[in-house]
Amino acid sequence: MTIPALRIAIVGSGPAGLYAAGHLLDNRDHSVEVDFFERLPTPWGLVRTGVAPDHDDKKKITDRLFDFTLRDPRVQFFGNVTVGKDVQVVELTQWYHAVIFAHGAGDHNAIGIPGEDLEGVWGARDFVQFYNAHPDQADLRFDLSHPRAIIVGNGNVALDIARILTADIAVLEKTDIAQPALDALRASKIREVVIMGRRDLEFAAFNNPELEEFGHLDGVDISASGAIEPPVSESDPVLAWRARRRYEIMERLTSRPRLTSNRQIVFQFLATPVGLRGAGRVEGLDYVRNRVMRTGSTITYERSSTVETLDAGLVLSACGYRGAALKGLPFEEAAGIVPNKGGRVIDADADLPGTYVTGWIKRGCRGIIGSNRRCAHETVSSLIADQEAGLLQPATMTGKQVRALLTTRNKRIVQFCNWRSIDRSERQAGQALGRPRVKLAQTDALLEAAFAPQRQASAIKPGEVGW
Amino acid sequence: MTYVIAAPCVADYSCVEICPVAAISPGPEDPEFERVEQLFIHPDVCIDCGACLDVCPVSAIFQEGSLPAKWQHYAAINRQYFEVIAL
Amino acid sequence: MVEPKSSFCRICEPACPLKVHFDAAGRPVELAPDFDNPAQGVACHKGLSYLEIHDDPDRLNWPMKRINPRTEERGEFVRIGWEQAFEEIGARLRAIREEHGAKSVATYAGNPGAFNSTWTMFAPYLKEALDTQFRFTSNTQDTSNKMATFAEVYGSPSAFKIPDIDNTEFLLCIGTNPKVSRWTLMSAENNWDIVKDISRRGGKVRFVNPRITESSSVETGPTLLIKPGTDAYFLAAMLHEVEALNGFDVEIVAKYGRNVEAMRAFVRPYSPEVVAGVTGLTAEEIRTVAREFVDAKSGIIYMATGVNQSRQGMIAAWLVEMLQFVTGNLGRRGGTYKPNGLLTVCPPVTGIDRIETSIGTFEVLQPGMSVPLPANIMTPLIANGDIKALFVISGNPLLTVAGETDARRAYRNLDLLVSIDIFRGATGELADYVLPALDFLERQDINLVGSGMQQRPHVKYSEAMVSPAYERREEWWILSRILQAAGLNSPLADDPDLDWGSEAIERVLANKDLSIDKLRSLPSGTALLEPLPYDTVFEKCLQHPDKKIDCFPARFVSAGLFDRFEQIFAELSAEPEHVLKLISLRTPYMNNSWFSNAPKFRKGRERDNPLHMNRADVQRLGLVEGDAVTMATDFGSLETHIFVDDSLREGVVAMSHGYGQARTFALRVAQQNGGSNCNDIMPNGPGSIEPLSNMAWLSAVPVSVMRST
Repeated sequence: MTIPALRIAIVGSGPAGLYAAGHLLDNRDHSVEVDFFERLPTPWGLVRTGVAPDHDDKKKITDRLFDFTLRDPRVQFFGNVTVGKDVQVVELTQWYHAVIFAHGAGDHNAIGIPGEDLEGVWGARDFVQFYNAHPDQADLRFDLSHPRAIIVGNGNVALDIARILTADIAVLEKTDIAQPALDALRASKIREVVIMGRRDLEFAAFNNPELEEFGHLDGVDISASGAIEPPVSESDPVLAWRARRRYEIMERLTSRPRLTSNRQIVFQFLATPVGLRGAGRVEGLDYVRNRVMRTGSTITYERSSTVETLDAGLVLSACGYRGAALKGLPFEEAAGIVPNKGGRVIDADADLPGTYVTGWIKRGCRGIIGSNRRCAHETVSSLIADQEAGLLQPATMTGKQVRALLTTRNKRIVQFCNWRSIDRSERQAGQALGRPRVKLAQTDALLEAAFAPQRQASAIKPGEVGW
Repeated sequence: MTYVIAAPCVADYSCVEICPVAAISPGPEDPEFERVEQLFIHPDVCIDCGACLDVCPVSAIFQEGSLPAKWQHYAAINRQYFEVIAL
Repeated sequence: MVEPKSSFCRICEPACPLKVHFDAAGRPVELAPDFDNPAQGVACHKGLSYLEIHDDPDRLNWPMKRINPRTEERGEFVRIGWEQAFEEIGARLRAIREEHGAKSVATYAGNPGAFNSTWTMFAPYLKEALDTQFRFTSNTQDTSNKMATFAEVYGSPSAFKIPDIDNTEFLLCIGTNPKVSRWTLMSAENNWDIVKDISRRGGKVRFVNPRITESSSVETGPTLLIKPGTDAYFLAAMLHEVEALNGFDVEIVAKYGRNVEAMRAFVRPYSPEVVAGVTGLTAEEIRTVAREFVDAKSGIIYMATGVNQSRQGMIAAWLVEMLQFVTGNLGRRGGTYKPNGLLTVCPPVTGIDRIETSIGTFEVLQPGMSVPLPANIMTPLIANGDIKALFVISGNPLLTVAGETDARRAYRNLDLLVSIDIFRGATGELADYVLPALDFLERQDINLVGSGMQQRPHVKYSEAMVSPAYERREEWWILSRILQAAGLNSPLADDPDLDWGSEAIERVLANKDLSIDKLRSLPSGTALLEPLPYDTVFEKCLQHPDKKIDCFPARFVSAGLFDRFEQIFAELSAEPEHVLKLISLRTPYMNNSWFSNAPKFRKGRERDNPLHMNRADVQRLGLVEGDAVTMATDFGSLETHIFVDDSLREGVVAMSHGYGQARTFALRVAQQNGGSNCNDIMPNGPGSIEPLSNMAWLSAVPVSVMRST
């Protein structure tokens, strides 16, 4: 007796997709098969290309969890396959019982001020992908020759970038940071990184553990300007506690003795950029200061009319990521998400049975890695309920057939074993240098590693010591 | 003595699911889940069984006495969370 | 509103107290710790999660009969009635006995039976009625070396003593991870503070292990990373050193010791310097531990499963006993002692049965099969036709005995295979009949197995928390009915529906003037027992006719244990560098093969059973984390993948057991998350057994690891 498996395609192999796969595999009532479609030759999404290289703790999630999902015999990985190009959305919906889109946020919010097209002004994503060896940004080069860099926005990404720009090279050398980034940082002349945000400390976007980490940066002084008064008493005890803790951390960080030789991270709270200066290249940023206005529980920020200027050679806009439209899927422009109800994709209020979303493309760009787990659980529950209600069309292709068809379209599909080859080659390069891995950034290099003939590892002979 | 969740926590709530005495909060059903920066272990509810330790995918959980120096204060932070939500 | 009831866990030895909460219909809906139990003890996540097992939709509910040939991996089972089951099994059993003789029938009882007091009490009689010598248990996979050693040293295989953790100044834990395994042959509640307290009060805790386990921490004590399978040499050097430090309690040794000189002479060559290379510890490290032990006002050496399974469990157990004894720690406050219990008698050895088989003669120590036949010979005996029928009672020998591949092939030769269990597990899948047993919430019980080994001696009773659903029945009832149906004389005849269970429980409770009613009337159904004086141990445990402790047992000599000790020492000394040794990893998410189907315990990475390996070995072998590997022994090979784990000593690899469920089709969670069964490649067959103890070799086994392509 063979039970026809519930065949699911997942587009994107970051935390959102992997958590969804995990929930599907955990379901004992359905025999499930999952095929991942991943644009890059590598899995793990933002864990590989977003999480900062010095956050090795968070990266453990691949070896300690996601790898176990991806290597499950019920799972196939098709890397280097772009949905919308190598394979169309409509095909996936035909081939599979259901498709879960977990392709994340491909776009970002601009600062929205004049001068953003100047050289030296970048999106945070560009820089993050650069130091994380993302193939899309493998060829970017950043000019780090000016002593000051400004990051607009003060979420966790801003803090990551500030850390990387000021960290001790010896520390970065032991991480999996991209080689070109390491080389650039080694030659960097940046002495000061300004993190500029519209709101005050209490309502800044970063998390406390991230702020706390600044205390572990050797040779970096932290200062803050703008309002860092103790938080106003909040009616919500959890938020008040969080704000109090944030204030205490900031107090601790900014009251440490300073050394002139140190690099600086400067928090500029209550400041809104209004323009970028420069002739061809960015030379400075104009901003105005804000005042906090409280009316009952409503907080607004009132801009002053005085424009101040900070010189800078690098300006990074870290104002948040947003989802991008994908051909064949509805898209809600304002929110930058695919319209959905509990993960079921809807179009003009009609359900699109068999099409689901999870992760940032479903709920917008917020939350931490684990937020995707709950999000995926909801989506998978919707999917299973639809299957049990008979709403899903049967799959038309077996896993083997899909693989064969993809191969005819693209000879270089990175399957799990090919990813293992990339992984091995990166890790082995790292072993020699005491680094977790040396990442390959160029697609060609990744594919070369993926399809390189494998040499048998040396091993001791079995049975040398027996009874 | 108890277990403590430290800074690396990414709110993958495997620990919440395996905890046999509901000592870890917030769980995914809890409205606080959306807002917190990490999860916390209630030191007075924890029965020291150790089930949470190894299900954490980022090794963020420690026996209180074994917290790395830089995260020593997380024992207090874990406790404070429960004092605060009790308000 | 249904009032919560007190019960206790029966997954492992401490029998931790539980508070069972019910819904309006009387179904148990939550298991909580019972903080009010006068004997203390807080259940851990395993017991508190037992509803995952109780409510498991894959539970076995009816007698099932296989209708396709046993040569097929996947069984097709149909529901039958009890009467049909008994009739058919009885008839086949009778026919097999007539054709091949009573001796062709075998039983295998797994570990859960130990935590089922009525089964424990009835099993010997039921097996006796089968009139077969082939009675196997899981004991030779975990701890029979201790019973065999006690028999020789004290004259009683059940001369169990426990460490006085609450009062000791020095605790050496060797080959054990009590934080995770919750101790063995010593029942202490899930309360790790009892160990931390030793350090807090100025004492010392030391671990000797090839892995820095969850037990070893800054709050307890450090680990000496020993090479696997060399504990006996470490202990010999300890004893050597204790003597050098004049650590012998001359008076005690003279009073109770026998063959003391021979023991001294034996350890004399094994100085710390001599064993340093083999154990991988420095002479200074060994000397320091010995000095700490001697200097402490009281001290304990607690040795458990990791050493038991490492080929020389008897020598190690003997050395532990000697170290305790000669330092005066036996029967001393803070040393080892005999606590009160329901049964505090240690019956002397009554004999040794010699059992002839097609592959040689094996010994079973009596009374009560305290050292049973080695389970490792089951497969060859089945293959050779010595065994024609096998009854498996709450056991899973296919996965938990060494050599699954051979066993799968051999089991096809059986004329009859019956599994009595709460699940149709891997072994059940191959059976002709699978018969539904009760879980611990469905039966009344007392905490019999740990009695006489508890930190806080107590007796507790639990009624059945819920009536058995479907057609589930007690194991003893099922076996008794089978015996009757085969025309055998069941000791529980004539009417198995009589309340035999209560009667047996009452009988044993009467030893302490207790009764079920009395216990029911007490808080949490628990009666605390009076503590016994520490030196009771001498009166209770010394069962040689001369009431002495044999420090150099003659049977150790005649069985060749000492020669073997020297031989293995030479073998290990000559071992090439970098021979990897596999040890067994005890995780909080598996308990032998229990919990393999509990969704809560099989999520995420617990779906699989990777090979844990130290980073240095990973690099030396040209591997990286995540590599698929083939691990081989002289007995077979398996496929898994590398998980970097720096808690391991270099040269040591570890896997958990209880996995390998890909063909356990009736357990859907386990089957989807099969993992590899490391027991499959463990040494098996007659050569794999320690003399006298019949212990299997399941840890410190040399392996090779190669990247799979």
